[in-house]
Amino acid sequence: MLYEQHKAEIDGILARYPVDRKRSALLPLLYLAQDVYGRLNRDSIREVAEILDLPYTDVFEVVGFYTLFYNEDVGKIVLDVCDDVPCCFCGAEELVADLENRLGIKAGETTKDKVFTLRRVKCIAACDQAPVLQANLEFHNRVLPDKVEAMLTKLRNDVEAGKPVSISGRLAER
Amino acid sequence: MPDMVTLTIDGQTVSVPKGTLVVEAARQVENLIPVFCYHPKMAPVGMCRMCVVKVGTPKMDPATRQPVVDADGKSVIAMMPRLQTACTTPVSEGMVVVTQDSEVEHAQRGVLEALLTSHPLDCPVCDKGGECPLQNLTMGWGPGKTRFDYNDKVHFEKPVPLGDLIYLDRERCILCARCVRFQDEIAGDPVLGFYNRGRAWHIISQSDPEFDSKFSGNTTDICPVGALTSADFRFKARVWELQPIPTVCNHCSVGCNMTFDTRSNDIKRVMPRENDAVNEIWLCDRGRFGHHFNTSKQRLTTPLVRKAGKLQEATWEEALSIVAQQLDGIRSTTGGKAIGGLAGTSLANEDLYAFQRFFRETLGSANIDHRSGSALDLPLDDAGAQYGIRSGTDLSTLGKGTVVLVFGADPEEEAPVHLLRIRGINTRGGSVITLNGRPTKLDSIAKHALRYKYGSESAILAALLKPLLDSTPADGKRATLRGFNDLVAALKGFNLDEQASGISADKLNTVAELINSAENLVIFYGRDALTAGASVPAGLANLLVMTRKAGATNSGLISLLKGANARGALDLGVRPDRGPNYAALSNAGLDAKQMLSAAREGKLKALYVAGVDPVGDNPAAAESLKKLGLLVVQELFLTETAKLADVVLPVLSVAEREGTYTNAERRVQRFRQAIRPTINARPDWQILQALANQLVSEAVLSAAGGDKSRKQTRREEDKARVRSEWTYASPAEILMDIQANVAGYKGVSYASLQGPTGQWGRQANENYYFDGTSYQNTGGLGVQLPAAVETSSIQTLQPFSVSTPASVADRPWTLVGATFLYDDGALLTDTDLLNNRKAKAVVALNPVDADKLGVKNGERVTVSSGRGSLSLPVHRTKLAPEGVVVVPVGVNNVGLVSVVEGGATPVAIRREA
Amino acid sequence: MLKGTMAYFKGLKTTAKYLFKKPVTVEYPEVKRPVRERFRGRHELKRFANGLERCIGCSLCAAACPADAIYVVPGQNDPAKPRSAGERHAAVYEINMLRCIFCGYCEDACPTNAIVLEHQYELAFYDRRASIYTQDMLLVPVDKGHGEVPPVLQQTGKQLNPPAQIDL
Repeated sequence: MLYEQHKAEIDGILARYPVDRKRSALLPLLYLAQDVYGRLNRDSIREVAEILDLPYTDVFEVVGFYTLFYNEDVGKIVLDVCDDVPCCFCGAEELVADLENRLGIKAGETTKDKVFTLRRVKCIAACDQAPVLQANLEFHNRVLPDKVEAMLTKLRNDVEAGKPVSISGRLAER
Repeated sequence: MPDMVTLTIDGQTVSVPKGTLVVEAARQVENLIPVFCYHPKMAPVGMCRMCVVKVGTPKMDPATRQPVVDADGKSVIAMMPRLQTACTTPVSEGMVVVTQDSEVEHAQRGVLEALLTSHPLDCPVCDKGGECPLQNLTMGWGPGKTRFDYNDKVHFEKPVPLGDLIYLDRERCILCARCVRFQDEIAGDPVLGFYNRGRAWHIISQSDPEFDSKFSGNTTDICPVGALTSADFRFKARVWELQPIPTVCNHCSVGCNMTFDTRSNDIKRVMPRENDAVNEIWLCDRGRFGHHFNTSKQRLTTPLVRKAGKLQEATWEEALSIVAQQLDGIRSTTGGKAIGGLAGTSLANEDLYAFQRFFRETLGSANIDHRSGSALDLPLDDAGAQYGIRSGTDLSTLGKGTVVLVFGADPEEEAPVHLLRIRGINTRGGSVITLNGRPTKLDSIAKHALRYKYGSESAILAALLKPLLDSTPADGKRATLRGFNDLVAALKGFNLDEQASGISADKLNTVAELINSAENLVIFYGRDALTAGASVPAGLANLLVMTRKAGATNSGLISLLKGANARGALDLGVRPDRGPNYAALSNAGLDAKQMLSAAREGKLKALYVAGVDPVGDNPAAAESLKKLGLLVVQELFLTETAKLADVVLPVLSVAEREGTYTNAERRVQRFRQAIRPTINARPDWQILQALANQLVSEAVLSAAGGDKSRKQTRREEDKARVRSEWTYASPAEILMDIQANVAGYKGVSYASLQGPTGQWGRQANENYYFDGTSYQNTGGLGVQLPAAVETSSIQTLQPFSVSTPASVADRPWTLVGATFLYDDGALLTDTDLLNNRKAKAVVALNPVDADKLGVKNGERVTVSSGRGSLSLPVHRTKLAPEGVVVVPVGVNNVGLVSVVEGGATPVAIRREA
Repeated sequence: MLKGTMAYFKGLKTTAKYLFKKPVTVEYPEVKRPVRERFRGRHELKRFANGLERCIGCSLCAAACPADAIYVVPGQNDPAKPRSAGERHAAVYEINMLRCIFCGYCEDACPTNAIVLEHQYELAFYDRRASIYTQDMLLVPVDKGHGEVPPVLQQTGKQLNPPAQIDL
């Protein structure tokens, strides 16, 4: 199914690697599958394994290892808030509390409308911009209390306007 | 002698070959460095850190590249700044290793303390308790106390099943990856993996079905903790209570050495017994879990005699005298030629020898066979003995320079442990060539994986032989090859039809070149090759002769016959055309098929069937058997044939008696009595001996009637025929008789099978040390018989001809009967654990073909040949090549037997409405 | 003569003295002699307070037994209807009282304090077979259990737990 629906894109990914090294295309394909299905469940992982002729178990190993592969349901936008030391100094805990308050969820949960998932993460390598969060792996720097409302509204409007979203961060600025 | 390296381990000097790991070198001076993840059969990974030691190397002067020498003239040792893992560090000249000092002990204690942080310490519940390396090493090296809080242990759900056969307890797992590596490296089924990370790291299997491997049981042996335990042995007994009895697996022709671990007269589990020449330390799941037939409630428990149309219980005396009198009656009226005998391939050598003696000497009949007379029978295979692998060959040592040719065989299904051994040869640097009609698991590691079209086997062999013939110089060499000119004549004008054979001539030339340049050549062939005509085994033998490898060290044929003792049956003359040791007979008897048709015509009056099920294999045989005057069945179970019998004689199973088997590599191996029989059954040889003696005794002669003079002549005849009354007291005495009368078995006795005495393989304590489990072999390694070609000076090329299958216009498909490991055979009775893995009664069809026919999975098709037709659901799979339909052999309700014509059969397929 | 009579009373004096003392003998079997707290008599298989058998069929008692008097065949608990705590239970548990030497090693070996040598000492049999005490005879009644199931045996059927938080 995945292959039939996204033939051009998958062929493009496969073309990046030598024919006898199809295994190398695993991560990009998993990102794609995750965006298409919203998460990586048993069936979607098996589909990827079949496209790449890999043993199922090998692909599950990869999915299990990386925290950016979601094996439970997440919203359209995953907010990863850094709560490591430099961010904490600059108000990360207040940011988390603010977001929890505004979204009506606790960290680690997804809003009822399935738009936002809030997670705490450790350092995402932007301490100079603390407090920092990533929305679908796109950086939002210096998210001070006055910016939160605008950010959430924009993200929600984008989703509602049908803008393409990628929880795998494939659309994030490189 | 390879390059030797000398090093010092705890003050002891040891010389080992270059490339040896420190842990192995230490073992040679009986210095056991503790290990968890390291296993001598697998590549090291250094995951558990248990084997850390101090390592130092001679200090080198960077300017002169010479070792720095101190005032005493000794080289200065530069110790490495950190502890090193002994399992990943190869030795080097002058290395100094310290395995016991406070720093090392501190580190090892720390490793064990860390490993135990999340271990539940439920040893009293755990099946591994008592043979657990974690227990042993904790006692030896571990801390007495932990500094970690008991409540901080990671808890996982207790056992989760990994497939039907194995339970995983993730709490107990120490993440050494031995099981994962075994599946990846040795079994070649990458079905286990790690999931998540950190403290949540655990083993998963996501194959379909879960843990889809035929070797899964081995992971429970090598698991150094109780994380993987077998479902079969789950809470059956504690390991120290078990009594291991050495035996030999009777499920296939590999003849794996194993033990029945018994307690209270019950088989609790099956464990491998180390024999590097046969199975190393591995077993397949069929052998490991398929022992339940021995103790099945369905076993025959007492003799049965047909009275008033019904089989009724009888005493042995009654049953035997009925058989003896009736056989004597038929013998005296029509002579031995009206009596036929079938003795199966699960019988021991002793039984088979007694069987053919009983027929040839006592009854005067040459009508004996070890097959069932169905269309699926394999032809008699002599090449495997004549050109068999040279005695003394140890596949576990072969590697670089060895070419393994797998022709028309699927070792994974036909003889699974051979698959591990072929993979091992490949890992050690040998090359594997697969020439098969359909894909097999070995293709993935094969240097050349070639797919021929069914019917072109002999043409493929001709194409391989031709370049070898052409390159043979015209001088003396040709003269030493008997049959050379015949072969040249047979191949005259031969040109490979690449279209019809499916392989290009260039490819085959490359293969021929590779075979010719190989140092050792091992050829495996199986069901597909055996059923493809006599030219195929002959052609394979010719390949050996033409490459000067016939009878050469580490080279020869290995024929994957069906049944544990098919080679023994052939060797000992349980066949109509040849006597023991392949001795030519002046007049051949009837083979199984001929016996059945003779019975149908009323020419055969009596049939004696031991361990064969003609009706089960071919329901149509019932017609013939019903016409018999006497049908005697000697069996473990009430088979379909036994249901028709006049007299049914129950026999003891492999676990209840003594005997020997001859495996595919012609190694004679002994099995022993593991449990005391609780039923009123006897071993096959005893039954035959009792009958043989009754048939020459006065009682039977007088009961036979007739006038006195006739009786007198009869007695004289018998005396002339029968050497003496049978007085075998044990199978050992029959083996002595075999040794004396069958040239090939010279030197084979229970004493020699027990050998070699003294130490071999790994030492007993090492088994515990590495695996926690005993693979100790106290039952001997067996004796490998020499192949006929080893002892003859002249090499003979076998008659060979290229046959082209006539294509049948209205039957464009090819039907192939395939052997599957898990079939519906009687030896898997009561082994319910394997039920889900048994081959299904389906027609395997390539998806492309299925689309052509417009059938989906599960829809029925009719497959019809010139003989008959079968109707089965379709299973779409790439395991069937295009144009070929694969149907399992030995599976109930398939009807294959009424369709096939020898081997690959042209058929028509029709989709059922 | 007098001397003889005096001797008669002398004897009776002892009788009279013991007539009013508490007797040292007991009227067994009507009266049973009490034993010391650490007396080792007939075994009992104990239960937890919730009625589950304490014995997990580990066979360590059998391994420790110097007289080879104990025979254990383990079995797997049905999670829906467990007999004992944890995955494993004793399917067969027999003690041959003719063999038993009442050394108490089995008690020492038992990881769950399931087997205890109690104070019953009346062990006599009419035939040898009766000397084999089976599990039913050894087990205490369901309502006579004591103690809580330890955590190590409480894991059957539990869902995957997150790692315990470490207090810093």
